[in-house]
Amino acid sequence: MRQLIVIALLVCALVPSAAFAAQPQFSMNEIETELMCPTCQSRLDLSHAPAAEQIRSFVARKREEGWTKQQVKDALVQDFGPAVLAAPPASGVGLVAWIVPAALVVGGVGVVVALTLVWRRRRRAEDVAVATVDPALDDRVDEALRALGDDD
Amino acid sequence: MKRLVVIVVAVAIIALGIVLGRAVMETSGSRAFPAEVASGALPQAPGFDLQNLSGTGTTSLASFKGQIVVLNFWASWCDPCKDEAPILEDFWQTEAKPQGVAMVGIDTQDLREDARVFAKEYGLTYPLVHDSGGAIGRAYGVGAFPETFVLDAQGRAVAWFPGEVTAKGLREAIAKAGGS
Repeated sequence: MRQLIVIALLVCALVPSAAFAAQPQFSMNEIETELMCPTCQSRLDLSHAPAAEQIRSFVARKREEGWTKQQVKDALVQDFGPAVLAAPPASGVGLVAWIVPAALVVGGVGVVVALTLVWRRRRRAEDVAVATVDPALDDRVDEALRALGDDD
Repeated sequence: MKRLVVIVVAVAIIALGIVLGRAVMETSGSRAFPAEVASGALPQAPGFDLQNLSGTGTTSLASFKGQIVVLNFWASWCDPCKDEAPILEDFWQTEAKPQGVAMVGIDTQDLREDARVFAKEYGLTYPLVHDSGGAIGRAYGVGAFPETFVLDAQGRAVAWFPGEVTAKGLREAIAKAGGS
């Protein structure tokens, strides 16, 4: 009798965890936007090509088995290569695709800052040039202007 | 300073061009190889060393040196491949194998798991390999499934069959490659 109770308790303890283990870890909609159809180069959620349907059914099968999204992606990359991922991996050659846009943004900001500094410096130099006009020359110009005014 | 800015912008544009160009090449491939075969130019077939579909060991093109080779690109999701599989298996058993002609089925753009089921279902006994990542399919310019190439003993491609092959077509291509 005691044995039966122990077995029953063990079964009760295991059933919820087994049920949890088989719980889908991600939604189909979510993963389909993160994968590519390998034969048509469009996103999986937008494709109905036979290869896309095959991947969709594989993903659904593994999801039901309780695989994580990463496990599914890893398995697909093994068979189709990294091109099956909508976003390139952040390692190896794929890293370049992440670095280049970031480098362009940083470089662009750098160019804007540099140009602003150059323009500002040039303007300041012009202001200084204006401020340092020879006073004697300034007087002569004033004199000439006055003389012109008297002629009128 | 102005010169430095121009250099930085030029380098960034070149880097972007290289990355985009590489991405396009990697994903789309080129149909140059089949076009060359069709023109009768006898291009050298790209080499490969791919894992067997069974999961153990590899098969390389170099291992068939001196032999005529029939290379068939297929995938388990491809409907015409299902019609073609019995033709290829029959050709392998009755003609290719007895004549010493090698035959390799290259499973590409496919799930290994499904490809194994396919091979079992159609009782395929000729060597089958898996083109993981599809690089070899791209090197051969495979754009539709199935596609078949026949190589002569020097590894030059003498024939290309887009779509299903027939035993008659294979026989003629093998004769052209110097076989009986």
